[in-house]
Amino acid sequence: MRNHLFLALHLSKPELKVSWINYIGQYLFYSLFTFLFIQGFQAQESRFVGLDLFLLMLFVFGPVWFRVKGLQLQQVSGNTWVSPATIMGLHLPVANRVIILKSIIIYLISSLPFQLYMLIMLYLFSPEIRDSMSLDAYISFVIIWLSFGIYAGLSVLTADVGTNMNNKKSTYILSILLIASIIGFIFFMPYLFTYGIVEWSIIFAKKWSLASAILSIMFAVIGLHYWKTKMLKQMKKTDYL
Amino acid sequence: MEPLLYIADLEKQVMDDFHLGPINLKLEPGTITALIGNNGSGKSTLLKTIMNLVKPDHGNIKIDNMFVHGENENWKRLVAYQPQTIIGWDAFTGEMLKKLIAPLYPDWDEALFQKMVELFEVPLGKKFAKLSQGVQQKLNLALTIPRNAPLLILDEPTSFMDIPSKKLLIDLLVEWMESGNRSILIASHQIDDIKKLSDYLFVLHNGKMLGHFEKEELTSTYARYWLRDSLSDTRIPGEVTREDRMIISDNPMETEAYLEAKGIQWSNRSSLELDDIITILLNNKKM
Amino acid sequence: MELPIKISKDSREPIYHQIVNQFKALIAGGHLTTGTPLPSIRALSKDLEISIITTRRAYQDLEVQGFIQTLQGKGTFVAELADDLKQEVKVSSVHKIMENAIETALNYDYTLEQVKDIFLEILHTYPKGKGDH
Repeated sequence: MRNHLFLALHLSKPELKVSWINYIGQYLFYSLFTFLFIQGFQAQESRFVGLDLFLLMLFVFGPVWFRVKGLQLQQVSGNTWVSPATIMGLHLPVANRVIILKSIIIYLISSLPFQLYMLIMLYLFSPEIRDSMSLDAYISFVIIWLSFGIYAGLSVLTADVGTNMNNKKSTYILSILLIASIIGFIFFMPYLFTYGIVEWSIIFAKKWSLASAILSIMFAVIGLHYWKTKMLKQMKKTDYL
Repeated sequence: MEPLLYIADLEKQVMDDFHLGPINLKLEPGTITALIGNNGSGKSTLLKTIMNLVKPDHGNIKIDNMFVHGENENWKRLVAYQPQTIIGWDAFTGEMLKKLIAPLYPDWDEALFQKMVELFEVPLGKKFAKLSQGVQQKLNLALTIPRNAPLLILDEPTSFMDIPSKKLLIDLLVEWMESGNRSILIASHQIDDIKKLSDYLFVLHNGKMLGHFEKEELTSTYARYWLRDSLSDTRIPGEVTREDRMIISDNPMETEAYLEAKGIQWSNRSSLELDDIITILLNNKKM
Repeated sequence: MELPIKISKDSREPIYHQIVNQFKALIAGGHLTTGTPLPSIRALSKDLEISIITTRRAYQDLEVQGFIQTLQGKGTFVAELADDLKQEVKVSSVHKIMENAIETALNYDYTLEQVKDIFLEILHTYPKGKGDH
């Protein structure tokens, strides 16, 4: 296990080395959204309506938007989509687990620091947020979201380890519909359930600070294992043609 | 001797239109096998299946007695694989790639790497994506051969390289093989690779295995005859093709027995060049 | 090392046999002296464009017959050859070539008497000095 971690770190080194300029871009991007969120929160008098989608996107896809050109997801043959880094790993004498572990390490390095930075900035620069949450509640809020970034965010890595799409029209239409309905649900949530996702997470963080934090961490640990196992299974059956 | 690579009854359906196999193949240590086939014959798919990149529908592949699709992934250390199109290196320089790859192989030959980089004049500081295809192949070779893995799998490694470099590579591979217990499986359309390097030819046509031949066994199976008289239209035993009074046979013994029995004389008999034989093998299957 | 070995793929004589005979001639004729290192099986296979299976067979034959010897880890070398063996090879290879020549002539419908004349004629016009010791 330690050996796996050591190898995974070894594999991540070159990726991190070529990514620093992209990380600067990502830092600016998160700064921009921090500003946007502070403004939105202020303008809506401590409501967060309409901004949920952006925050969710930042916590799920943010870490992969700023990938170096040669490391973005690509179609390597007719129906195979995979991260080039996975292919590189598959040609090397390392176990599939190591390749997955490396993906997770890179994902966490390109997510946690930026998300944490954003959450700290929000608290420091938004009087509305400070007014609505005590420090305890806010720490719980931070844990809720960082954990979310793990159990929900890691799902994007399943694409990295490779998928053989069936090029059927029905699958295509179905996935478009699914995405559209998720976006619709998030967007209309404040009207259906009084509050949006972010606002509900604030309520939970305030009312049950400790419980929500512990539950989130548990979810993150379970999520981590779940996605690892899922990716491993997926690698076993994917054809990297 | 225990085969280094063992493939039994391998089959794979790719999408709706391509079926590979059944494939049976054994590679002994110390030998070089050329993987030959028409375009789209499934050479790359076969090599990827050996590397467990493509998962078989049926059959087994073992490297040094380990199933490549099993839980034990230690076989990966025993293979150095150079794909036809390399994916994932674009963002990195040769230097970064070397630092990544070299420590993963206990027998990495740094001196050989340096020698190859020098001979092929590969710039190590440039990003892979910025190199020409020929130089990419050279760097790829310099990062593959020095791994000193017992099984070296090369998928059309020289298709973009200049002629002197191709010759250089042949010499390097001959030297590399001197250790005795290594094997090479090389997919190639270069007749020089096939003539100068290979001991065996493994021939694929549209996914089907046409055979696994020892080189001289294959060349001795074919002969070309120029007959003194023209022939009737009946097919002669062993006859593969005929052009006027010239016939090619893939069974000289039977052909000669028949000709002698019929009292047909021939003025000349010669063997065929390997490329002619390959052409016959691949063309005849199209009919 | 480049050796003056030429194989003919059109010949009915098996390739490994051609290699064996040419090596014998080179050794018996003194072109390859005792202790001379020979190319590795792989290197010779490359030069002659044949498989190592064929080359290995030739080397094995030569070794069994005492013309070469393999030293573990060092390579293959020309062996110390008894004079009578040398002589035997010389005689037999020259005989063989002559026999072949006669056979060819007979195929062209020459008589043995005519072959003798041709032979003498060639000997007579053969450049002076070349055959002197």
